[in-house]
Amino acid sequence: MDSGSKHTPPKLGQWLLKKVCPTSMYEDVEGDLEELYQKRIESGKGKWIARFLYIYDAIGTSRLRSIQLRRQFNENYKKDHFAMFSNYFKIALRSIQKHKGYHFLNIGGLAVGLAAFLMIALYVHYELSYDTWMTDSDRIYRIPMEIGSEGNSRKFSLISGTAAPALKSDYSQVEEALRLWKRGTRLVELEDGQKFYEENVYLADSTFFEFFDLEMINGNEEAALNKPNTLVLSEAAAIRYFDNVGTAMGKTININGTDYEVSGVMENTPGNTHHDFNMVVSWASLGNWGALDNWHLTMFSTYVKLGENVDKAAFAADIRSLANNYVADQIEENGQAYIYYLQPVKDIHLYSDFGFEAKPSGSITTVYVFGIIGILILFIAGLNFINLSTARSEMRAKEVGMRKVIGANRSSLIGQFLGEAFVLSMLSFVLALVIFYLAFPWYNELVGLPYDASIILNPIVTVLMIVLTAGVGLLAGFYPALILSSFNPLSMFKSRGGTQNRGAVLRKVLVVGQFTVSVILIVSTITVFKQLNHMMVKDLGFNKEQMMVLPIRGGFDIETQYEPVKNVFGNLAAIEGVTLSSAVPGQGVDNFATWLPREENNMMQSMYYLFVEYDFAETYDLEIIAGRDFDQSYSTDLGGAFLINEEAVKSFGWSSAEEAVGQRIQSGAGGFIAEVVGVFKNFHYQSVDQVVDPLMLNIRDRVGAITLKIQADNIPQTIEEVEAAWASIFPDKPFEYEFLDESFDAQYSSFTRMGNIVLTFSILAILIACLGLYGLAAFSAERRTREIGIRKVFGATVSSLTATVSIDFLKLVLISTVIGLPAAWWLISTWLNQFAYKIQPDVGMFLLSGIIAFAIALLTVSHQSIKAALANPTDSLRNE
Amino acid sequence: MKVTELGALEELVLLTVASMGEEAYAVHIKEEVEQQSGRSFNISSIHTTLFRLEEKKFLQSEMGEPTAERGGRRKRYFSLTAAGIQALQQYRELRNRLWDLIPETLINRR
Repeated sequence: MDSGSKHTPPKLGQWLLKKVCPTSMYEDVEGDLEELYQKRIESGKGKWIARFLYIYDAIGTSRLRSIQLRRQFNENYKKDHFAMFSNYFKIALRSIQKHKGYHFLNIGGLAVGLAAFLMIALYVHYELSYDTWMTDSDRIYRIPMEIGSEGNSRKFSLISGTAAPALKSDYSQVEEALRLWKRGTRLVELEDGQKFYEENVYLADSTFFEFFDLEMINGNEEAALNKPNTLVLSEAAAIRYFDNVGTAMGKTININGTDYEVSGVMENTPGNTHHDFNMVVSWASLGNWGALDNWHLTMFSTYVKLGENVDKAAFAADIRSLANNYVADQIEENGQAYIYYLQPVKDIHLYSDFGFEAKPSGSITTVYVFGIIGILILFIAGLNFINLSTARSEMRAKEVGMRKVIGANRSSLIGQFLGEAFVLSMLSFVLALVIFYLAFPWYNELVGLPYDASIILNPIVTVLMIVLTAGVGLLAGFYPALILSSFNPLSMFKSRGGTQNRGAVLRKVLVVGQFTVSVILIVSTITVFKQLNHMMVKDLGFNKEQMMVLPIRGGFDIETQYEPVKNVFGNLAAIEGVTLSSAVPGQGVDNFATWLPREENNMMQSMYYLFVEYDFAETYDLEIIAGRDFDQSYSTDLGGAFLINEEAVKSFGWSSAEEAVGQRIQSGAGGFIAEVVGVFKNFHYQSVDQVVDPLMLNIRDRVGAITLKIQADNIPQTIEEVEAAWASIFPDKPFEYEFLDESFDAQYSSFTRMGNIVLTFSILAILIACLGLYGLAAFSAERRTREIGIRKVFGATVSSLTATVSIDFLKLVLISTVIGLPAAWWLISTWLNQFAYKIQPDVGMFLLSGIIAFAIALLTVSHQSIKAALANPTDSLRNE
Repeated sequence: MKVTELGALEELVLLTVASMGEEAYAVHIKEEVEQQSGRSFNISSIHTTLFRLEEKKFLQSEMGEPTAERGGRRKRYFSLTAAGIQALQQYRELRNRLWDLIPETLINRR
C-alpha cells in the first residue's frame, strides 16, 4: 500500500466515532474504519461515498456499547476485587498506624457508646418485661380499688376477699379469678426441729397456676393447692430445707402452730415479676374465715383472667361499682364510694400507683429517662464516629486524586471508603464487646439484672449490635465516600488542594448536637443528686438513728411477754429506750375505716393506724404539739386513747390541733371508740417521696416489732447483749435484727441506684463528646497550621492564636447551651413530678451546668489550640 | 451434551478466523467472509460479532505492533480458543447427525 497518498477520513465522522465508540475498542476500530476508507477510495468508490460510508460505520459502532457495558460489569464483579481489597487493606492499616491517636479516639469512642447503649438497653428491656412471662399475660388483670369519701380518696392494690368469687360468678368475661394474700416473713419449723424464717410466704386460691404458671418440678399444678393445709415450695426453699428437691414432697412443715403438707415444688419465680413466691399455701387452709365474706377489707390481691376477645373497656366500666351490687347500702351509709379498676398485670411494676406493692416498684418515668439517655449516648458516639471519619477523609484528598488519575471509577472509590468505615466500625464492635464484658459485673451491681455478662452471646443481642454498628459504619462512610469521590482529581494537586473544608457545616451541626446532649445530661445528673439529697436530709419528723429493730414473727403474748421485754431490754446499760409497735416507719402500716361517732357526723374515712405502747412517741422522738403523750397513769390510755398527726386533724375537719384534743373517734379496727389525747407533728412513716397521710396511734396488742434505742458506741457488744436478752425471752425464735436507718434508707436504694447510673452514663456521654471535640480541634488545627504559622511570623501572641482556634468551637458550645438548657428544664420537670416532695429547679443549677459544659469544652479544645499556637512557624511554613 | 448457541454469522466468522491463521484482524476478516460467502457485510456487524465471540470466550484477541500505515495505531488480531474449536466441532457434529436422519430419497432428489 503506498503511504504517499493518504486520504483523511471526514472530520465529522471522526468526531462521531469518538463520541460513540466505546473507549476500550476505540483504537483498533478507528484503525479499521480508516483502512476501509482508504480501500474504498482506492477501489474507485468515490470520495463522497467513502465519506458517507465512514460516517455510517462510525454510527454503527454504537452497537458495541452494550458489549462494553457487559464487559465492564463482569470485570467489576469478577476480576478486580481481590487485588483491590488487599490494596485497600494495606492502605487502611498504614493509615491506622500513622494516626494511631486519631483512630484510637474514633474506635474507642464508638465502642464505649455501643457498650453503654447495650447496658442501658438491657435494663430498659428488663423493666419493661415485668410480668410478661406468664402464658396469656395479656389477658391477666389485677383488680385494685379506690375508696373515696368527701374530701379524700385513697387507692389500694389490696381489696376484699369477696371480689374474686363475685367476679367469677357474675361475669362471663372472667375465665378465672385468683386471690393472693402475702403473709410476708413467717417462722417455719420442719419435722426435724429446724427453724427458718421464710420470706415471701403467700396464700393463694387453687387457680394460682392458671395465672402464674411456674413449672412444677414435683407435683401436679392442678391439684397441688386444692386441699386445705397443703403448700407448694419454691425450688430455692425446698433446697434450703431439704437439700434435695426430690425429698420435699409429702413432708410436713409447721407454720405458726399449724401443720401443712408439701404438695408440690415449683421453679423459682423469675425476677421480673411483681411478686416473689417462696411458699404458696392453699387458700382452702383458711377454712370458713369470716373475713372472707367482708367487703370492707383491703387485704388481698385479686386477679382475673379474661376470655379472648373480651371488650376490656366495657368490662372495666362494668366492674367499677362491683361492691354496689352487694353492699351498696353499707357503703352509702358510711358516706363512701368503692371504685374498682381493671389493671393489666404488665403495667403493675412500672405504672401502679395503688400502693401496697409486694416489691419495690419501678417507675415508667425512670425507664423512659434511661431509654432516652441510652439513645443519646449512642447518638453522640455515632455522630462522633461520623464526624471524625469525615474530617479525616478530607485530608486524604490527595490520595483520592491519585486513585482517580490511575483510573479508579467512582463506584470503586465509594466502595473503598465505605469498606474502610465498615472495617473501623466492626473493630469498634469487637472492642465494645470487650468493654461490655469487663464493665458488666460492676454495672449489674448497680442495676440488679438477673443476667451475667454472657448475655452478649444471645443471638438477638449480637445481631442487634452488629446491625447498629454496621449502620453507624455505613453512615460514617457514606459522606466521605460521596463527597470525596466527586472531587476533580486535578484540583487535588494544586497547592490549595487538600486543605478544602467541605462539610464544615455538617461537622458544626454534629458538634452542637453532641454538646446539647451533654448539657442536658449534666443538668439531669445535678437534678437527680439534688433531689436525692433533698429526700435524704429531709426532716423525717422522727429519729431513725441508733434504732435497733427486732421484728416479731409469729405470735406475741402480751400477758407473759410485755413486761419481760420492757424490763430485760430496758435494763441493759446500752439501751436508752424500749418500745413495741405493730410496724416501724418504712415498713407499712395497717389501715381501717374510721369515722367520727354517729351522733356527731357520718363521714367515714380510711385511716392509717400504728398500734403502739406508751413509750412509742418518746422513743421515736415525735413532737407532740397539742395535748399530751400516752401515759401509763391514765388507765384509759390502754386502748381508749388516740394520738393523731396533723394531717388527721385536717382530715377530720378540725381547725387546729388544740381543737382535736378531746374529740372522740370510732374505729373500724374492732369498732371501738377512743378519745384524742394528743396531736403530734407529721412524720414520714411511709416512703419519703409520698405525702404524709393521716395517722392514728392507739395502744393495742398488735406487736410486729420491738424498737430499741441504743447508744452510739460499742455497737457490736450491744448487739451481743441484746441477743442474749432475746434468747431469754423468746427461746424458740431465731434472733433477727436490723437498724432502722438502714432499712428506712433502703427505700432510697432505687433512687440512689438511678442517680449513680445517670451519673455514670452522663460522664460517659460527655467523655465521648469531648473525644469528638478533641479530634475535631486537632483537625482544625492541622488544617490551619499554615495560617497560624503566618500569623505568628507577623507577631501574633500565643494567647491570641489559641483564642483564634478555640473561638469557633466555643461558639458552637454556646449554641448547644442555648438549645440544651430549655430542653433539660422540660425533661427534669417531668421527672420531678413523680415526687411529692421535690426540689425546685433554680437558675443556679442551669447556670452551673452551662459553665461546666463550657469549661469542659474549653479544656478539650485548648490542648490542641495551645499546641498549634506553640508550633514553630518554620515547620509549618516549610513546604511553601 | 448441550450444544452451545451459535448464530449463523457467528459460526461463519468463527470458521473464517479459524482458517486465517496470523492475519485475522477485523477488515481482513470482513473481506474474507465476503469473498467466501458472496454477500457483503457491515464492518460494524463484523466488529460486533467478533467482540461477542470474544465475550463468549470462543475467540481471544491480541493487540499487534503499531503500524505506520495506520498512523501508529495498533491492530487487533483474533484467534480461536480451545472452547471456540470445540464449539465449531459440536456444531459440525450436530449438523451431521441431523443430515443422517434425513431419508435417502429426499437428499438424492435433484
